[in-house]
Amino acid sequence: MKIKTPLQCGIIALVTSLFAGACKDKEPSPNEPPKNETELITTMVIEFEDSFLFKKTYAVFRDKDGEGGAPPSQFDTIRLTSNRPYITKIILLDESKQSTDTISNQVLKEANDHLFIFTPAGVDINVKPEDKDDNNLPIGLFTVWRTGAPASGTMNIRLKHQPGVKDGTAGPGDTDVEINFPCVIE
Amino acid sequence: MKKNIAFITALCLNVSLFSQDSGCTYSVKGQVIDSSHTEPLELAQIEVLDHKNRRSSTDKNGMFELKNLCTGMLELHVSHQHCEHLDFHLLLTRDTFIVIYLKHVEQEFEGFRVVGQSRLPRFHTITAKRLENMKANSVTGLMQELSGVTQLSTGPNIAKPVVNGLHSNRVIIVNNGIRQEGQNWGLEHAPEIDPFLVQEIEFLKGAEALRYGADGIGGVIHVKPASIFSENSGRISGQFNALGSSNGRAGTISGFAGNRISAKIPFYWRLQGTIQRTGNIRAPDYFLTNTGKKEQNYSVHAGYRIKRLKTELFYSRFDNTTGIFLGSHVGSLQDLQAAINSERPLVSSGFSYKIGRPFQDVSHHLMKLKNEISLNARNNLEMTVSYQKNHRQEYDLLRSASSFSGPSFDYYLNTYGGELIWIRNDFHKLNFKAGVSANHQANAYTGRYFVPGFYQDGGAAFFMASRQAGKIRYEGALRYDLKHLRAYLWNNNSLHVADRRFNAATYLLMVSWQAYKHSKFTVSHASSWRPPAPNELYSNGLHQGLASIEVGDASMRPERSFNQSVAYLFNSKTSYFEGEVFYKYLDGFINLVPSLTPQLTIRGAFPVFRYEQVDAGMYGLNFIFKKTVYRYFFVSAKGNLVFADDLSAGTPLSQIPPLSGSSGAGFTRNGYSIHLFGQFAARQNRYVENSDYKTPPPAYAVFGMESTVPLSIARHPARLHIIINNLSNTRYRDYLNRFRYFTDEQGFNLTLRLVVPLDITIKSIKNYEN
Repeated sequence: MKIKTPLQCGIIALVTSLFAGACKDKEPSPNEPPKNETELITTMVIEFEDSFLFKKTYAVFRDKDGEGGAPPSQFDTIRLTSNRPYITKIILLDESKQSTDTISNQVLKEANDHLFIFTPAGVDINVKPEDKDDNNLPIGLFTVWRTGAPASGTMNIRLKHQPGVKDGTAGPGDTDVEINFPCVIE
Repeated sequence: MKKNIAFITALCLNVSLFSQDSGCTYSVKGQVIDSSHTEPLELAQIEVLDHKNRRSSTDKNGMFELKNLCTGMLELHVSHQHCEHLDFHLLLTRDTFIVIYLKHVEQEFEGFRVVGQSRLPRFHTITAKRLENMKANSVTGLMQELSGVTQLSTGPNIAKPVVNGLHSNRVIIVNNGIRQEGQNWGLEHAPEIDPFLVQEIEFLKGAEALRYGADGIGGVIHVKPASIFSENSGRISGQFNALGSSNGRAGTISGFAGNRISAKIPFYWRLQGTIQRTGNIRAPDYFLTNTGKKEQNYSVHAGYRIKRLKTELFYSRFDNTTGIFLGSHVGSLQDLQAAINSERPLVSSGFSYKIGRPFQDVSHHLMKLKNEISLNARNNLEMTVSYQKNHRQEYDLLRSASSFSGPSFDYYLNTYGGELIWIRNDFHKLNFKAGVSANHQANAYTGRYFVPGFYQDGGAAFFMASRQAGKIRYEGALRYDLKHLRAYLWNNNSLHVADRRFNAATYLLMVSWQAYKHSKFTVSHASSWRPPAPNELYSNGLHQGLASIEVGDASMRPERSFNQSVAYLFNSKTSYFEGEVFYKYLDGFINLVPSLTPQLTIRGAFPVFRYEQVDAGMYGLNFIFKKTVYRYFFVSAKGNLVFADDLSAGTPLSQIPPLSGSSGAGFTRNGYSIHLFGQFAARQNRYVENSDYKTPPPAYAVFGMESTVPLSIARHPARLHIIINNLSNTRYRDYLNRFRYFTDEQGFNLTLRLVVPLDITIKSIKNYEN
């Protein structure tokens, strides 16, 4: 049985390597607070600057624990004055972590992959993007909203993530944010 | 290891050189030994199949001789009144001596095993012989050969068994005597078992079913590798497999080899390994983007046996990375609706082996040490300790290129188990097993919350007994379980420890009546229970794949089932039938129920599903039928029907398999075989309106073929299996595929599988386990 020695070596080598492999991860323990490095988008702040009065107003959606869990803690109605242009900025935050992260900065950095879509319903608001990505396509973080006649309805704001497939339309990619704000034009 | 392989090849050639053409002048001599007592067996029958008068029986030393045999592949059948029958192939090229170990059945509690007729196919079992032709499938695919078993899948690569409509936490999968502990609550979590390791699959129907847990409400499926003690000295035996599939351009290489170190040293070993690569799967009209898979598994099995002691050490490692169809990943309900409403997937691609996000990365280690001690002829002890580590990582799509690139979910589940059993045979005509078992489980995670970290401890005592009284056989089992769960629920660095204790009894009674020589009836009644699983108690989060929020209920109580079934079983030389009707009543059935108010999130409103307890009733029937019609021609059929209702609400339960079945016909002779088959599923018409995104898909039928061709490679015997699935490249969707919302099922697939038995001996040619 010449075969004995190399085979036994093989077995020993295998067994040793697999135990070594089994131990290399540093495992979390069930009773310690779980690390979560995945980011969330918990908060959207829309800043409206009234271009007649230079007065700033805000509309906020806030759900600090992300999807599921507790319901959103703040969900404002957008209130705007009729027949007026507003300089509008969108800020996205991750407030689930110890230090708040501004996700909209990432969106700006990866502008070629992102697009905001604005869909009013029941209200007359014209939204014109004021920012462009490297391919001269709109982003939507900075926009001008022109309000029409007094009415109430909704404004649907979607952020689409479209890596490599952005063509300026809503179709491609998947949705990162979708909020249907109640909207009143007074 | 290269050295060894070279050695094996060299020996193969040597063996071939000895062989001579034609001439039916060879003999096979040998000895038959009882594997549990290592004593020679008298009056064992040895028969060469297809050679009607070539049979022999053993003398009082267990010796036999078969004369005037021709060269080539022989199929031998060995049976003994008190033992499991054994079928195996033997390549005869010269006079041969073999030693055959037969396993005693009296120690087993598999109630349907017919003592004295042991040469017939065993009930509720997919035999090694049948499995051998099917190994192009996943382990769940293999299990579907059992009556009453269907599958729940998530795309082309992830599938788990459904037993009479129940799955996941309600089906126990036993892997080589150890209860498989993965994150089995998840619908998209497939059993982490290498199909090439499996030699036999058995549906535990009798008392033995209670050995592995109280929670096998749907059923207990035991997946067994070949016994390590079947290895023989003086030779290395094994098998080499190479597979290629047209769909997914998949390639698999798998093999095993083992032996007994020498006739003097009763040390046995076997090494086994599998490597697989699959690219994007193709539906009839398009590729499914990101559906590749990488898998590599291996196992080491060692055994040692002296007169009264059998020790076995087993380690297996399973590792796979599975791409999840990109079009199934949706950010919001609106995305989901768009994906569902589109005729073709919105994301399309060509063929690629590349696996990108989203994907799953799963590894599973299983380690087992088992000692069997034979105290005397009637008393045996079995001690088993085991350790399992399941590591599951799920990678969702990245929200942006600079996002954290690690896993979105990362679970670690460690399970330690121990079992001690006393087996007593022939105690006032009663055979019984009494045992205790304990386990400790720790689950921890990083990443998004779905299931909390927890510790779970369990202890159980059980007693199983059987008695044969003439034509009637009685079987019974009783089990009592204590379970303790501590879940760690974190909310912004504040901790709430949920402490739950559960304990209850489980029992089973079964009577079988051997009505005629070949047929028997069985009636059984059993009650089992399971505590609510951590996800059912504490989950609260978004299910990315299904755009829904699942909410647990921490106050839930255990679920209890009352099962009754009547079965008719028939096996003769030419026919096999297994049919069962059943009724289950489930008290406190934990069900995921759609809730009326959707939950508002930053990605829009998502539907909410809550775990609720209802009273449920399930009834149905299943059967399997095989018959040799004329000489070498055979027909087969399988059918499965389940009705399941929420008795509290008076509505049907969802995700219940529709009427389904298969039938086939074929021809087999001298190692050649061809088998044409069709599979069909009706439309599931029992569903609650507006409770699902899409109504159940229409009925379908698809056809396939399996064929075996014996070959000779460099004068070494081999086999080629040709398997065709979805022969007509039919477009269809299956109700129990969670991706039926998005894509058609896999299209035409041709698989070629080359099997080369490795059989290297110095003096004689070894049988290989088929």
